[in-house]
Amino acid sequence: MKPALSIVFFTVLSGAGLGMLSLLAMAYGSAAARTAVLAGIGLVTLGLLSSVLHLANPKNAWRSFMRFRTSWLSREAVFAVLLYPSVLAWLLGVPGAAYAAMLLAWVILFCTAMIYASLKPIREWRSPLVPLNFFLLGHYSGALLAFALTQDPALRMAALVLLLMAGAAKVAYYRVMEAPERPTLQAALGMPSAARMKLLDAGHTHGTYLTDEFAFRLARSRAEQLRIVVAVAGFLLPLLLLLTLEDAAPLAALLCLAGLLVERWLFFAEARHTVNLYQKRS
Amino acid sequence: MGCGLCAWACPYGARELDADSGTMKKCTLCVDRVYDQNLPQRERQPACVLACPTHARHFGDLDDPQSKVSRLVAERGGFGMLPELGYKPVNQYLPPRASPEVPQHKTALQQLVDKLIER
Repeated sequence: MKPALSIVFFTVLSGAGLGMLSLLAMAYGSAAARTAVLAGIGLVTLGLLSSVLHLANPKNAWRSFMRFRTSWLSREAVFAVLLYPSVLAWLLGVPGAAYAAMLLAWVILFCTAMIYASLKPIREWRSPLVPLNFFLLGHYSGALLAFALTQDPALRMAALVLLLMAGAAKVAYYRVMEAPERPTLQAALGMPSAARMKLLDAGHTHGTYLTDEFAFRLARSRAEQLRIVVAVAGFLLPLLLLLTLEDAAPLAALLCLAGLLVERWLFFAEARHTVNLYQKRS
Repeated sequence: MGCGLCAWACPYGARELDADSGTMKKCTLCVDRVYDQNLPQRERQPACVLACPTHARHFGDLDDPQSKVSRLVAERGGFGMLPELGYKPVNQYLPPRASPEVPQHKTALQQLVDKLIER
């Protein structure tokens, strides 16, 4: 699938912001530093604005709230809107508002991940590891950013623990989702017992919306190189910096975000949609 | 709103974005023809059904078990694509029919050669 940069930025930035808010609530409750909370909600806002750039018809964006019963996108939109008054209450010192914001942050992260995990035509995303990864990566990047802003050693410890957990979950995802069961061309055309089948003509000689959106194919070597970038920039270098240097938190946070942007880009690029079966690509 | 999520969710590629209007479009089954009182009854079908020279396309009400399309699906074993995804598409495809066997008159030698080649 063609990775849309606006969505890559949206999920990484809002994930980091939501993780940051939830960790600040856990660590400090109502006594959280104002700048840190504002930075968290600011990141979430940046992410949400980035996602609006993805829309071809943004004047209809209000409709995204209207299908709460069935759509993860609607649920995410509704809870994201509810986050703002809860963070405002938190900043104003309303007791318990910090924990409400934390719960909302968890729900929003889960809903964002379920938008992708609920799509049946994309086998690479059909795993509980997807919401787990979104959750852990968001909290890991949020913890690093929160530590960079507050210099609290408890948050440094949280960042280290979350780094290891998120790294393990990412490795597990790459292992488990290496080769998901994808339908063959025969199964897709309703004749699973046919021995050999070849699509002679996809029916168009020029690209279409479907080929633009879904025909993106990443070479295996390139995917492996990018996974190394994710491992190094996203996890190994921040780990080294956190363990060895005193003042390295901002650099570690930057590297972590860069690594996570590549990781999210790969998440989309390595996904293959079943529509490709009907269009002469496996 | 042109986010394309419906296109991601559709396994068959039925949804496409119209870049000019920013809206997602799909086949409407010529709903304007089907309900057009000014057309003769025979022509109140999708344009592709009327156009098909081999009459491979059929249009009708699958909810009515007595309709032509329901009987076709029942008799010829129609199926929806990718049923394992659980989408239960309304569109049913009829499997290719086996061509009738043409009787061949072969000599004993030709039959022997056929048997050897089969292996």
